[in-house]
Amino acid sequence: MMIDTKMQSKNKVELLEEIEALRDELSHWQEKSVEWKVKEDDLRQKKAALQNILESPSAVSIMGTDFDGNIVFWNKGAQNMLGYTAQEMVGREKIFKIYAENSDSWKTIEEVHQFILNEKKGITCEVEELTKDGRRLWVQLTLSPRFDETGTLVGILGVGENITERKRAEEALSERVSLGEFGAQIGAALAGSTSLHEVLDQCAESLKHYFDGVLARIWIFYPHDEVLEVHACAGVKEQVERHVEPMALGSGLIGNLAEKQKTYITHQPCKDSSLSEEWEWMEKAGVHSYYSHPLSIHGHLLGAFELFSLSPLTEAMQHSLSSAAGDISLGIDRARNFEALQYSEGQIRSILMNALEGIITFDKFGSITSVNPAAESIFGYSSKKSIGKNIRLLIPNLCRESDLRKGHLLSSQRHLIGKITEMTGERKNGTQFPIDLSISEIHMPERRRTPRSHQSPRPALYLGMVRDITERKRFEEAMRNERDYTARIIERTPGLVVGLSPDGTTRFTNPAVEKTTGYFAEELIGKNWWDLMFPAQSETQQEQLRQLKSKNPARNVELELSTRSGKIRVVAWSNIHRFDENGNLVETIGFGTDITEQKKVEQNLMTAAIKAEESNRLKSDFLSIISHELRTPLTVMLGNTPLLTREDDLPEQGEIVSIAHDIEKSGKHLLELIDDLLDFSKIEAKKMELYPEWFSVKKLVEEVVSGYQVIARQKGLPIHLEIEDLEICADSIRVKQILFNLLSNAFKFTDNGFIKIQVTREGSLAIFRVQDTGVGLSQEDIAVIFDKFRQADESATRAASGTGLGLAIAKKLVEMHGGKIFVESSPGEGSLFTFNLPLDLQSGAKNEHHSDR
Amino acid sequence: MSTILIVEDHELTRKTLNRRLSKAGHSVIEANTGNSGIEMLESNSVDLILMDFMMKNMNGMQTFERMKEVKPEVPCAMITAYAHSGLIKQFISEGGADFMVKPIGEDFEKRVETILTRSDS
Repeated sequence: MMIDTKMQSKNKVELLEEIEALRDELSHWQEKSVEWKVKEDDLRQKKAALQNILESPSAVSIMGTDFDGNIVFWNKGAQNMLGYTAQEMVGREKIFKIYAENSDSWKTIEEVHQFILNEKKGITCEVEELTKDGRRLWVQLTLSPRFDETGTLVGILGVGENITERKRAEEALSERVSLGEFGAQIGAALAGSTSLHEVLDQCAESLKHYFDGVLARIWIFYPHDEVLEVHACAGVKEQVERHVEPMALGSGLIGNLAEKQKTYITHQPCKDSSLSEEWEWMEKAGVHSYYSHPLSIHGHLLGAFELFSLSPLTEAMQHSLSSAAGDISLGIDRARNFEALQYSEGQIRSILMNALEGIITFDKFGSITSVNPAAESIFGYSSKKSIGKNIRLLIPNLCRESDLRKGHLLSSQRHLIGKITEMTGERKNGTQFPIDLSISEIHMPERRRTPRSHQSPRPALYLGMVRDITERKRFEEAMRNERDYTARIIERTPGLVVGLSPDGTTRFTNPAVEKTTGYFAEELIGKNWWDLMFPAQSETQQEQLRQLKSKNPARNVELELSTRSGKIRVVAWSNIHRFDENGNLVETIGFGTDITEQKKVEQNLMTAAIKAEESNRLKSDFLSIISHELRTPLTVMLGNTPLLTREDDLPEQGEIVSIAHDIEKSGKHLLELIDDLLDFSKIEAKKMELYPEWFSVKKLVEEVVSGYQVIARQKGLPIHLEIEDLEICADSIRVKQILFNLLSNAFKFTDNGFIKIQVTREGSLAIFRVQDTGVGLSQEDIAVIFDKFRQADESATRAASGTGLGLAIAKKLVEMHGGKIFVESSPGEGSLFTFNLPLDLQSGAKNEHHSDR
Repeated sequence: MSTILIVEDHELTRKTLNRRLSKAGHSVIEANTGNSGIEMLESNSVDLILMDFMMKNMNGMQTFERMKEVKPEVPCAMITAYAHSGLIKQFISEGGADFMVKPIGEDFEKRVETILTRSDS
């Protein structure tokens, strides 16, 4: 007992020292607990417990061992704590299990001794003890060496304290801290990375780490194939590396819970038939509980995770896991979105970089935020030189200065947004050039709503697409010039140009069309060109129109076009058809030339040519006839003379006289003929001159008639005269000639009846009429009777020994006097030749003759 | 002695030819139109026809064609002031015996004689 008391007292000191040490420990814990406020209460409790120990030593279990580790001392406190009495315990080997920090193994007693000796102050450890009734207790054991008087180590003294409650509190606390940390870890994993792969790896790692996991697996659901595949794994190496087959939705544990989106937990996984495939390794690894949870967002399945834990999973842990599932789901969703975004952003970036259009982004103040390479080359500024500068550097007229200052870029230029506008760009070298600009607003997604949203939302950025259209403008300009040029030609051409739709409807006309047709363009457009212009559908015209409308239209088809006033214009028409790729007629351009005048000229020329031919023929006939006429009297003269030149063989007297008469007659006729020819050629050559003088018409007519008295008597034709006594001024010789020719004509064709000459005055004219009762003239004869040589080949002419020039000469002479001559006659009814002469030739009529030719 | 038919519308020419031929010992009959010439040819024995060309109604060429139908064996010489080469060619190719151009010359009787001799043989 002494020893015991000694021991006790001595131990008390030691205990106090120990307590002191515990205090240090406590303060250490206190320091530690600063971070964990919750722990403070527990620490206070512990402090109170220690006080208790001081006041009631029996509450402290004290046990001592000898050098070999056999229990030599076991106090009441120890009995209270563990249920074993001193009797039961003394003599039994008691090995203090010491868990040394940084060591995984339990020490041997030698090691413990050595350890305690080295640590002179003794050591404190927390060990799990089993009570006599089988309860597990957490005991905090403070071990110190026991020395005898000589200072030889004789054993170990252990002071124990039941810290099970504290330990539980601590564990609960640590679990909470751990769960909090876990949540934070998951959050960090999700926030820290945008890669789905990394996020899942970290989540699996955290699951394993915070839940005493041997293995944590995350499955990802592939909706297209309706399978789940392990996507991330953390835990013991061999399990992590094990290949896990993909699981169809609805089959297997994972497939089922994923389909039903239900959580699954078991604390006897090695007996759970649904985990039979995992039994072997779980048993080996000592898996205590299994937990799996689906991953979904808004009911949309994303996958599931599994946790194989060595520890039981408390409700708090389960709750934490469940909420972690939500976080992981969010993380997956976000990472996926981000990856998708990243992908599309990458694509967009590549598009921007490679776009041929210049792309410029700028903010509402006009400050350039980016330019792509195309924009760099268009404007000549590198992106470095242009970013931060104002957009007006590149596009000076884009917006108003005032709008820009207010940050209301384009507020007055809304029309520029969303469509292509032609503007002027300015290059670095100062040259201006045309651009196509299209501006769009980029509304950036807002993370938070600002309460001041009553302001109309302004886009954060504008995106301008710029295309250098210098070349195109140049081309357009050239095209326009070309078009203008063509249009001008069409406008000014004297040719008719019409555009027609396939059915012949007039689409456009040029001014020449209006001029020729007399219609205004407005009257023609919309009407059928062919029907309006060529209504007279004669057989020929129908055929011509068919040729024009055919696929290979005939060219320069002559058509008769009806003008608005109903006149006919002749046009030479050509069509050009335009067909589409299928060979359907698209439009017809018609070209016409008004050849009416040309036609007239042609006609006139033709007539003139015919006349000239006729005239030539007549001239040639005339020459033949003249030749004939001259030869005829010569034949008589030369034919008879040989009869008179042979002195030895002369005809008898009467015959000679007859021959002489014939020759005389022929000679006279020849002279007459020559006179007429000379007169006529003089008149024709305008060499004949008139010598006007005043004379009495009556006297003149009587003189002429006296020359015909013989023939009149011979033919038994009386000559009636009705002559007004007039004095006229004319060339009397030529007037005589006219009358002579007319009378000669009258006597030639008249065998019965009479010849009548009448002269009257009508105004300033003297009217002469020579009437006979002869054979008369047909209408055809009347038409040509005054033409020269017309009668030359008539036998009747011969009978009257005419030259065929008499009437032609008479006509010319009348006209030279400024008068007119005409004839009224019909066959068998005789003829009436009438001519008039001005009373005074010198009063200007002479000039009239010249102009009349 | 031969009988010669003169078809000629100009009276004085007819008279002249008649005088010359009569003097040369020929028997002459006269017609002043083609039609009367054909009638005379039909009703008389004719050895030679002297034909004018320019006559009213029926000219010498037309008369010649008709006469050939009546008496193709009678030679016909054209004697005209209308000396057109086309006419000469046509007349000769149609079988005309000779073509004489007015005014007639000193050799008139000789040429008539030649035709008559040729047709006799």
